[in-house]
Amino acid sequence: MDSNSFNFNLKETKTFEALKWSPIFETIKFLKRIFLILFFFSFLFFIFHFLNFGFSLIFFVLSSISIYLEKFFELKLKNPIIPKGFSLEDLISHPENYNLANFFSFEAIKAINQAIEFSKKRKLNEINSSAILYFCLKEGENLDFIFSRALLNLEEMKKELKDFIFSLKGEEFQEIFSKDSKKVIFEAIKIAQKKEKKVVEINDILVAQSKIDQIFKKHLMDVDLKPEDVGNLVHWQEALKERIEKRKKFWEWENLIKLGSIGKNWAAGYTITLDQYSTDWTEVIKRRGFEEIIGHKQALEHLERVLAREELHNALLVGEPGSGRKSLIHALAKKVLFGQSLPEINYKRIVELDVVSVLASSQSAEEVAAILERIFNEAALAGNVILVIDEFYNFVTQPKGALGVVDISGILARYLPLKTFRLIGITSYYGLHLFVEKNPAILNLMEKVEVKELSEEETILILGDRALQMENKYKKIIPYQTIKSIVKYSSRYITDFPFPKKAIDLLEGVMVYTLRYGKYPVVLPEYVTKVVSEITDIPLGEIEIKEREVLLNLENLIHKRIIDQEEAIKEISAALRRARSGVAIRKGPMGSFLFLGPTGVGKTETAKALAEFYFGSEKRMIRLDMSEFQNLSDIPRLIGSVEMEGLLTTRVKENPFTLVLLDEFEKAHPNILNLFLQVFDEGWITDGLGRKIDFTNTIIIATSNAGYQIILEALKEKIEWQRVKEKLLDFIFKKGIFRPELINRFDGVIVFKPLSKDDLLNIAELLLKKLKKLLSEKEIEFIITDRLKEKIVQLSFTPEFGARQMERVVQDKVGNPLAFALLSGKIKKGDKIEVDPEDFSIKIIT
Amino acid sequence: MDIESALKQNILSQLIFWQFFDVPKNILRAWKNFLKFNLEFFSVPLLLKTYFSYWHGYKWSYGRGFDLARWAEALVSNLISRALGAFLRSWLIIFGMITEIIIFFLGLILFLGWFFLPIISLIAIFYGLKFL
Repeated sequence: MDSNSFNFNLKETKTFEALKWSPIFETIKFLKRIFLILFFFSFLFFIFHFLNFGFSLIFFVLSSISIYLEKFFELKLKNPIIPKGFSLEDLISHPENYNLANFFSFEAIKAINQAIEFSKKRKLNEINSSAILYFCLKEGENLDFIFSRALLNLEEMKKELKDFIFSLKGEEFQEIFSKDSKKVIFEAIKIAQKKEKKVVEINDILVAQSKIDQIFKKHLMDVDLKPEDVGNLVHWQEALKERIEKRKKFWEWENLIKLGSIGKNWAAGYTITLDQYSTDWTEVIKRRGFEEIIGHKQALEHLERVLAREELHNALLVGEPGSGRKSLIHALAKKVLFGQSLPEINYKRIVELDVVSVLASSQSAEEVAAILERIFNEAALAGNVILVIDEFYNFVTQPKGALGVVDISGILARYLPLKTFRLIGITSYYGLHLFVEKNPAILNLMEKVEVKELSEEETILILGDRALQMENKYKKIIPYQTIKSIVKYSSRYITDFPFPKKAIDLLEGVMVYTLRYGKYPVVLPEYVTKVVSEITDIPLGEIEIKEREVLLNLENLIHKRIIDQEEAIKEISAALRRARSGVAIRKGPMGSFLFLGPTGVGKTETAKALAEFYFGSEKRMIRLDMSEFQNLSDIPRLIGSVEMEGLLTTRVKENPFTLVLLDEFEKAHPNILNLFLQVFDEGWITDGLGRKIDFTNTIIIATSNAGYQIILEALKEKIEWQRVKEKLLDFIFKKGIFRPELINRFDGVIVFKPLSKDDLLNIAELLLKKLKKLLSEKEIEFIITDRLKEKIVQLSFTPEFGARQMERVVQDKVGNPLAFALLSGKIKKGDKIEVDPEDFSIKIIT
Repeated sequence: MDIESALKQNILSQLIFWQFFDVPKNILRAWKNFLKFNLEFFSVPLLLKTYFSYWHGYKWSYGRGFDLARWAEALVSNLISRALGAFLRSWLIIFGMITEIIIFFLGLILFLGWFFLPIISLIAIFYGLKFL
């Protein structure tokens, strides 16, 4: 939209006309109250024969007329006239054809008009967007809900805006909207259109302002919120308002149908045995009412379609525990109860069979079989039962003689094809693969309905709902930031359960924490980090503060452990900074690197150093030797299968905040390497059990010494370092060791140099210093001589293995004699010692 | 209605439009909802469809082979089950129809009442003044 097409003429709208009439209707509203009071008293006096009926009748009619006029104003005059079939999309695509003001609500027009009047009074050259915002905040309804939940101070912001607009100066008033004001108006239209609204409201202007107005932005930044969050908050408030308003309209079909019906099951049979061993969800929902279900819309529709079919009308609900499978059953029960589902399943009963209680009450397998037979028979004869079996996979395996194990598949297989028998089995992916899939007779009679994990946005909405209930119960306010950080942290650090369960559990945990330790009636966002740290043992708050320092200082930190390799370390640090500061657009892991270079030059050590500085400990590292994965048949060992845990996936699932070190990467089978393409690209992989394993909180480092000869040769020939890398990559591609698309997906390919003699001397010193530190704790001073260092380098260096041997040589030649001398009492506290490089004997210097 | 013609309307014509078009339309819709819901509440269409079905699925098997006594017993029992079903269903259907008629007339009163509201108000004021 350009500014030439901007036509916002508020005076030529019906709503503006209503605005002019509003003082009269305000008076009528006031008169209504007086007439009602007069009617009440005149009627009272009439009853006691003080007055005649005429007064009551007249006041009754007058109050009725004022109510009538009030409604006329509210329902007709105040609402903009929107032509049939019109959508705001037309307005966005052809703004020049319309007077935009025609599509703004009464309150919005009122606020903008006040901004115009204000600018006129102050003789401002244009209508400033901050003035519009100020009057929107003055006029808007329910803004307290949004502001208090965002921890924003409405009054303070109003005051700041007021001060600002009163400080504006101009010479002559012109009814021109400023550039920002135009932007706000267009943006508000777009926001309303996205929500499929027909009219732009104050809330939409507010969301638009949060993107544009500087004062608003500053306030948002202070409370760590973004404009999208204002959008979410507004959405939350509007959804609540809409729900309340819908409920008020009792004459609407949706509300009427909730009153239920009688006689629907008169043709259906009784289910006496089933009733003994089951929960009738339809009855439960009738009694306690039901909150709205958020998300899983597709899965619910799929489930309904399956159940409504003539053939294959049994469903297998597959999803991780905690992904909302039970809520889906409740939502189905609600729709079916109110006749809002498909005609084939409307008004049926959703009954959950408790197989365990059947087992518990029976003495023998035969008795169990007899009871189940009777139950299924009843369900089939009744014709109005949809049976639900939770943990379905537990009951379709072959019994292995263990107590409490039962296989109902034999009986069930006869009932599943019957037209009057409908079943929903609930299972996890694990149960599906391990048990149900092994029973094709059952599996073929059921259709899988997958219940996917909810998205973060949907979880925010669910938490919003829960938060309101909890606020009522515990009398504490739960701000939006808390909800946001609950979703953020549970998504990142809690992996035992999917959304929404993990987020709901965390919300409960944080509420309990607040009740116990909180000083204010507010559930503060920082409590979330505290609770998550307690649950996961990851020092969260620290990590976030530390990360910045670590990133800024990464080179120095790594150099504490690694000698030389300047270029390599510089490159890793730069790549990590790019990846973590949000400059790079990415979905993959925190960082992914390929370390190339000969053995013993510090590749693994660098990885360990990163794990220590980034994740707090060297132990937060998953190390895999990829030479163990040379065949395709090794894939299940890597990503798991029904028989075994995945060496990579299970460990990442359990420990998502970690460094993954893939040693000897080139030795893995090419197809196994291909698995990593997706990990680098998308940040997740599907494991052998069909679970999505998230890698976005890992740093992945692959090491390889492929083509190290090239590096050695290049150094001999003194080729420029940048060229060495090119040559090495050429060699790798030529030999087909790694495919270019794999190499391109790494954040950085880092080439490590072979170590020079100086480097080796420094490494020897580093290792000896470790010993020195240990000895100094025993108050023994260990003097490191250059000759000793040289001897160690001489003994340990080989071109193929770099400095790898050095640690062992230091241990053997220096560590062992020292230990011996310490134990035998040859050296004591306060001694000053040296090690002779010739025979490694210990000399005490006096 | 398009925006141009709406803009030409004055407040009086808007009032007339609201009184005789907008609100009656809504009343009609609500009235229809109530009529439809009442039938649904008493399950009238379903009960008519299953009018002669067995009462709560009680039925007796005629068994294999032919045994007159057993056959006759099953026939009589099944007939009783069906008759009982039809009898009880009739009651609910009758109830449903009675309330349907009541709702019809209430709706009609409301609809006409709204239509003639201006006249009724005038008459009420006239009588009120007369009573004074």
